[in-house]
Amino acid sequence: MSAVVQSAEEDLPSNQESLAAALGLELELKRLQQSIAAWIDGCSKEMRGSLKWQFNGSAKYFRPVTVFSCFRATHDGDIGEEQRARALVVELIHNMTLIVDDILDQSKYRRNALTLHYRFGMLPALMTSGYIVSEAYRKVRARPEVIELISELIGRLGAAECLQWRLRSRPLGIEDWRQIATEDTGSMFEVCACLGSGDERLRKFGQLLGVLYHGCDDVADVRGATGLGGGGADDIRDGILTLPASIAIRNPRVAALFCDSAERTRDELAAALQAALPEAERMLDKIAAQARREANENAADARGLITLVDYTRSLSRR
Amino acid sequence: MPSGVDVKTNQDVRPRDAAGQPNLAKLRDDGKADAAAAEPMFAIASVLAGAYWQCGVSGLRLGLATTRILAQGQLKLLEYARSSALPEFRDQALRVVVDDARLCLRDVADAAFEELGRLRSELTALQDSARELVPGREDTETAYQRRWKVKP
Repeated sequence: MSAVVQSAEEDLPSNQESLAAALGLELELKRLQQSIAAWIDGCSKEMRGSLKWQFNGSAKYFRPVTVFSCFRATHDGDIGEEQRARALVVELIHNMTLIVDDILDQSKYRRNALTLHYRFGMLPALMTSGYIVSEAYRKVRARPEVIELISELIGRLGAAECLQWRLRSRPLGIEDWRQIATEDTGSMFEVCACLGSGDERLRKFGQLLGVLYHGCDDVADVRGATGLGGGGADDIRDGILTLPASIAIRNPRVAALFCDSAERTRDELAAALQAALPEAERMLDKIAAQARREANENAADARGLITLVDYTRSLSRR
Repeated sequence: MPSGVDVKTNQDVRPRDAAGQPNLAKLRDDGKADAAAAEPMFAIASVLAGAYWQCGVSGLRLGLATTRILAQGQLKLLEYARSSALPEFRDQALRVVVDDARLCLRDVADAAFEELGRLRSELTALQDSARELVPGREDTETAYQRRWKVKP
C-alpha cells in the first residue's frame, strides 16, 4: 500500500489543459485527438460531416483523462494501445450522450458552436448518435470485458434519464439526488475507472468522482459559473432535482415553488437555490473526502487520482 | 446378565505390547525434526490468528462507526419530533425525516463498504506474508528461451 496522498488545493490546475499537463497526459490527449480524426476519415462519407462537427469542438476529454489516470494509478507500465482504444471508446459514447442530451434539452449551442441537430437537422443528428455507438462496439469487438462495461454504461445512462424525467418537479430529497447522480454521471466515471484499472478496484472511486462532478456542475449552474458550461435556468424551468434544489426544497414553501412550473415563481426559487449553496458545498466536500480515501486505499499510486478529485471539486467555485 | 452379550474379561484387556510402546530415542530425534517442521506451522497459525484478530477489530470499528452514524440519525429524529409540534414544521417533517433516515442508511452502507475494503487489504497483506513462508526458487533467468522445437 502506498503512502496516503493528501490534496494540494493551492497547486490546482486552472483549466482542462493544465489538468492534462499536471497529470502528464498532454501527449496522450494529442494522440487521442489524432485517433479520433483518423477514425472519422475511415467512416462512411455520409457521416463524416456531422462527425467532424461533433468532435471538432473544444472537448474537455475529462473521461479519457480518468481512464488514463486510473490505469497509471494501478499499473507500472506506460499507457499503451489497449488503454488508448478504451479511452477513445469512452469519448465516443460520451459524445453520443451529448447529442441525445442536446436534442432532449433543445439546446442550440454546445462548446460555443451550434449543436449537431441545429446544424444538420434532427434525423442526421439521431442517426449520427446511433452510428457512433455502432462504431464504438466495432472498435472493441475483440474485447468482451470492454463490451460488457460499455453495455452496462449505455443501459444505466438510459435508465437514469428516464428516472430523472419521471421524478421531475417532485419534492424529493438529497438521497434521491444522490441516486440520480450515481446512475447518471457516476456510472460514466465508474466505467472509466474500470476501463482504466482493468478491474473493479477503482469502481467506487469512479462513482464518487462522477457524483462529485455532477454535484459541482449543479452548484456551478446555480452560481452562473462557466467552468462546466451549464445553465441553471434550464434546470429550474424543467424542475430538475439538482443538489442545491434537493437541499432547498426541504423547506415546504420552496418545495411548493419547485413543483409550480409558473414563470413568476422562478426568481424566488433561484434565490432559494442560492441560499442552499453553502450546504451543497459542505456535501461536496464530504463526497470529495470519500473519493480521496477510496483512491488512497485502492491505488498503488493515488497522486493522479487525488489531482482529479481536487480539480473536480474546484469546478463548483469557478 | 443376559446371555449372548460379549463381555470382555481381564484377559481380553491386554497391556500394550512392545510394538505399541513409544520408542523414546526415536521420539527425541523426531522432536528435532518436528521442531523444524513446526516453526512454519506456528507462523501459519499466527497468521491465521492475526486474521482472526483483524476481523474482530474490523467488526468493532464498523460497530463503532455505525453506532455513531445511527445515533446521530436518532438525535436528528428527536429534534424533528420536537419541532414538528410547531405548525410550520408539520408539513415538511415527514419528508425531511425520511430523507435524513435514507442519508443515514447510505452513510452506514458506505461505512460498511469502506471497512470491508480496509479489511480486505489487511487480509491481503497477511496472505502475502503467508506466501513468503514457502521458500521460492530464485529465478535468475531473464531471457526466455524456447525449450522445445516448433513443429514444422
